[in-house]
Amino acid sequence: MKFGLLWEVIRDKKFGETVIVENQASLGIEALLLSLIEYSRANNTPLLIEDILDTFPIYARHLELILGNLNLGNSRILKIGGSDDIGKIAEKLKFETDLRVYLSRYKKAFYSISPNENFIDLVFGLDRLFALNDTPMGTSELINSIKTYITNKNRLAFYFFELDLMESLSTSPMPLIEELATSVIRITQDRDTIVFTMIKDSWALKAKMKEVRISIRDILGG
Amino acid sequence: MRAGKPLYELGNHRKGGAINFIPSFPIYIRWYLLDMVEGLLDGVKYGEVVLIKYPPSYVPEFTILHIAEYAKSRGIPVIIDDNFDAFPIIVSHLEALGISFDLNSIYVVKTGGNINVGNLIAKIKYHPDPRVYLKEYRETMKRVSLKFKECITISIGIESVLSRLTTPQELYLAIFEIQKALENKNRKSVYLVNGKIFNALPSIARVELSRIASTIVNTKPYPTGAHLYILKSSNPELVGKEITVEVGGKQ
Repeated sequence: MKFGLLWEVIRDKKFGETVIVENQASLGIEALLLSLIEYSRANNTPLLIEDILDTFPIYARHLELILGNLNLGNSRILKIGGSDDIGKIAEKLKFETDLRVYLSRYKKAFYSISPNENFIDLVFGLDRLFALNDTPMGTSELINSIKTYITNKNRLAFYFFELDLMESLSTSPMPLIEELATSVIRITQDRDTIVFTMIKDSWALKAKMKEVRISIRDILGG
Repeated sequence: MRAGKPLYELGNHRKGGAINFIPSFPIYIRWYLLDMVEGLLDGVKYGEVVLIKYPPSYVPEFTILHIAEYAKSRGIPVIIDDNFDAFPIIVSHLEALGISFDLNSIYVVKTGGNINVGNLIAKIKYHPDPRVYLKEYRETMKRVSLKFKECITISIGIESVLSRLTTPQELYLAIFEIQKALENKNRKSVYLVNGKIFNALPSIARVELSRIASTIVNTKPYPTGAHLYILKSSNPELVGKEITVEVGGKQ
């Protein structure tokens, strides 16, 4: 029961849904990532990890430091740019500064490696991509490309964002991204407790609960 | 435990001078804080990036002193990653406090700036195009890592590097270099940044440094000691904890 209600929130999600995670806690993404890795292992659901510009390794390296080691056995990784190869790399794309070229190469790679059965898709580093393309044109191209993937019926997607980074961008893309999501979860920290607040979420509606609080010691401690 | 001569010795510090706010200064820095720092640094694992934020104070001076002393007692080399002459300024503050400091045992990698103190092992010339000196920095740090097996690096003056970078593309070049430390299992990397300067950095730099760091400590000195607030740590037990360092605690 280490992950408590958090697993209930995850279990409630159906394939085809899109969850936007907005992090403001010091170890918020690490905690949710660990819950998702363990959840997918316990339920035999494959994980696809999309790692843009070495963003996933930050959280994975932290989990390695915290736990001693990190088992990424049931996940495959689509790597876009970056050099820190952690986990099983299924395909590696060179980063393209031209957004259109990047998006078309990404599309091809995504369909060639995504599993045929139901899977959970974790997307890291879109915040870096938005920061590097912080123009009206760049932002709308990125958002349009997200749209084409979210209708995929056998994919449950989690998009991870550092909220402070997204809110500092001149094009303010966050509200537009939230519009695309079936669920928006914000992670904050109250001293030694991680607070998962459901901004918009079907589980929260049913359970009549707005937030789930778990102490960092419980979720990440031995 | 602490065999050998201390790295630094207290000289005739000025009566009525800058350090009078600490009544039992020698004990303060020789024992109590040292134990604290030992405990904290033992808890920091190889492969970590530690971000220490401080208000205007002698926190950076004392932190460097104690890390150096800790490292000496453990036989681990210390490398100062000195950006734009931040280290000579720290050394001059220590001198003003009457503390002489064995600089020969401190290795220095210098980026920009021109005042050499410590045992200089590499110098990276500043170049208006950040791609040029960041590439040189990357190659230098790779060489340094090969030379020393395990080491502690202390980066200071990083704000001078980051505040010169104007576009997100340039900022990310620097961020990716900093992030590389998380892959290096032989190195503990410590970044010392004034909190107010940190908050004034471009938001990409601020958010990314906070995201990359595996440990973040906010320090708040008060007249007779300091509070250390642990915002992030690779030890989940410590997150959200406040540790208070009392002056002259071990009399």
